Amino acid sequence: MQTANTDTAHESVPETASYDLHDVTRRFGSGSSSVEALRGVTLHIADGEFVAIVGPSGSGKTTLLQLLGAMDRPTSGSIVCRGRDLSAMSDGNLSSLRLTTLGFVFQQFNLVPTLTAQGNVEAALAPAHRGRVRAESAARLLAMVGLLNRRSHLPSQLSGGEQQRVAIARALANDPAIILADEPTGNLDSTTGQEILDELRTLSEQRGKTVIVVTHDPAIASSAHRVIRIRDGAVEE
Amino acid sequence: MFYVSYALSELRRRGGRTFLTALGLAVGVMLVVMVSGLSTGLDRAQATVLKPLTGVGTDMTVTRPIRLSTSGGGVFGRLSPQERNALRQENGGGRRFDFRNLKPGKHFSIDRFVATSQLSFPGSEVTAVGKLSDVALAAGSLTLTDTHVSGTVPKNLPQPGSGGFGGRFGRRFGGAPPGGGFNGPRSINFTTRTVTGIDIAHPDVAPITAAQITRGHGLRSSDGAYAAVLSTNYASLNGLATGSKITVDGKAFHVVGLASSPLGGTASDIYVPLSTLQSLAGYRGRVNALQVRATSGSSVSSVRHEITSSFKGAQVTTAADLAKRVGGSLSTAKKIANTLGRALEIVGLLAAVLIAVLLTLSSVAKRTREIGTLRAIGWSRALVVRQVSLEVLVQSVLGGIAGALLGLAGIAVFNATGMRLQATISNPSTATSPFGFGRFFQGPGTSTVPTTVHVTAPADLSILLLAVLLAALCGLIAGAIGGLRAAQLRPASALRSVE
Repeated sequence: MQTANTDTAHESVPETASYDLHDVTRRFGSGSSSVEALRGVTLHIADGEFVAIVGPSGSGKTTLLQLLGAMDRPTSGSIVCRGRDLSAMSDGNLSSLRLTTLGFVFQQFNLVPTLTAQGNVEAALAPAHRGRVRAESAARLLAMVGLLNRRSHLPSQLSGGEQQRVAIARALANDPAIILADEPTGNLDSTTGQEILDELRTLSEQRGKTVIVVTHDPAIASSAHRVIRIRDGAVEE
Repeated sequence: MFYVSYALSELRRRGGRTFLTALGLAVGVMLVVMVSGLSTGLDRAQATVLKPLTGVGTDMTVTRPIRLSTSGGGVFGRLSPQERNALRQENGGGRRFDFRNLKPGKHFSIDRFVATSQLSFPGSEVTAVGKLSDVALAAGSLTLTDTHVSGTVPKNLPQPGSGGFGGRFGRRFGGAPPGGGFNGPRSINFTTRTVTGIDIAHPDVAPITAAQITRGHGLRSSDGAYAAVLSTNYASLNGLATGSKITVDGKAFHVVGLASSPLGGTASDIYVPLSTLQSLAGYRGRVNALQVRATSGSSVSSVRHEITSSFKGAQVTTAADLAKRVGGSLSTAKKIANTLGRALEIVGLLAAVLIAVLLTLSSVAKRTREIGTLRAIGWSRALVVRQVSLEVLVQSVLGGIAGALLGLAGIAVFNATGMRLQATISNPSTATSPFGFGRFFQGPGTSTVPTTVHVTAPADLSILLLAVLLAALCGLIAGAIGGLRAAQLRPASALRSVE
């Protein structure tokens, strides 16, 4: 596998591309015990796409999502996100990218248990916004997902669906261009799962956001504009 | 405000760990506050003990200790023949009890005065020192041991030769300590006491000061030549009080005051006007101690140098010298406070930091997923470190405040116990007289008069603030270590962890 020339990659990616992956490999461990989670993945995801990544357990879906989310670095290959080569960016710049450009929704919701719904949304706003602006933005986002009246509740006082909506509000806090969701309906009943799916589809269709969802849920896969199948670390689109 | 409320909510959630971390730091801070308070208290106690010497304006005391060679060498050999003869006369030569004229059955009462550990010197030295530059005031004093013998000469005592009773008794008295075979009559009373003559014209630099007077008043010229101040111990032992009469060398003295014993100064039994004692004891124009006040504290050293250069055999004792010679339980406590106390402070603080670091690392390890989430939503490493540090800082400050309060409580308990310590000042000039009197004649003199002092540990606000700052510093160290550890993980690795 060869690492893509970043300049070439940069030049070849149109401004409207959310991602351009070239020959991306991610290997864990070293020597004979190493595991290759991704093998030569090359992908192009345009802005505003609603993409479902599907595949069996252990196929490398979550690893791919984490690479897309700038939470990990590939062993080889290049990942360009909206014109910026992630492998060439410092940790601080990656943090900044995650803050301003990417929004995450996790299967386990990953809300901070000691913070209220409002506090959890503010946690995503805190690095870039201060005081009253932050509080007002958080309240507006909670109102958007229908949870304004639950703003002072702790995660433990919210249902699974409510927690995931708080997570979506948090993911939207800094108005990111890309939403990354890892099994967002995995811990929800079918009705609530459908509501969350509707939220994500709305984000893509009405607000023009790129939504990339890792899922086992056929309903989500069938709702997506595009399905990327992955097996044994390789893409079978 | 968000970060603070987040920190507080985390501390509440992990209440047990918060309590343990704060407790560890509280113990460390408590040790700092208590040891510092105790140390300051001991310093103040020592200052109180030394105040009779240092607080009234006497910067130094000049004496001529007995450290002379019998062979005529040393300082003694460099003295003028006249001065050597004077010293021989006053320390033995010809100064014997004269019992030769006593007849069997006759009652007798004899006082003999001798200088003990301090040789006398002419009063002209006082004048000379007083004229030195940087000397504000100088006054002499004379401390002697009064050996009082009284009784009735036995009627059946043999009187061989010309010596008779007096010769035998006198020779033994003049040459060696008794106890080696003296079979004298039981009707003879033998007592010793120290008498100091003080220059009442200069009460500010007298060996006994107004601060030491516990009853009555100090010596005044209006009291006349036969007025006396007694040490409280001597008065108590002999059932004397102000208004009593005391007889010295056959003269009745009117007791005008009682005085407590100073530490390191001349702790005599009886204080009388200098000229009276000089006259009674046959030490006319001579003194054996000189109290000097320098014009300023900074000139003490130069004055000391001038005196030792111009005054042969002089020993100059300053307040600083006395402080070095403080002994007794006060000194022991100070040494313990300075060594064990400091060690306790350091160990306590190190232990507190260690506890805080370990608990922070443990706490961070349990929050890996949460920290991974924060990193995933855009928190930088620096922000994570800052947040963890803030949490530890808050609990450290809480621990510091708790420790300061515990320290104050400890100090209050310590003060309530009313701890009393004894201080003594060892006298370096306790050499045996070269003239034969030896330790037998060494009265209570100027050596080791113990002083009891009540030790009170103060609660110093600056120490309390310093202790809380120390706790905060410990917290920052622990927080920085824990925060860096937390921020080190890539978000993906953190999110893969299972809590």
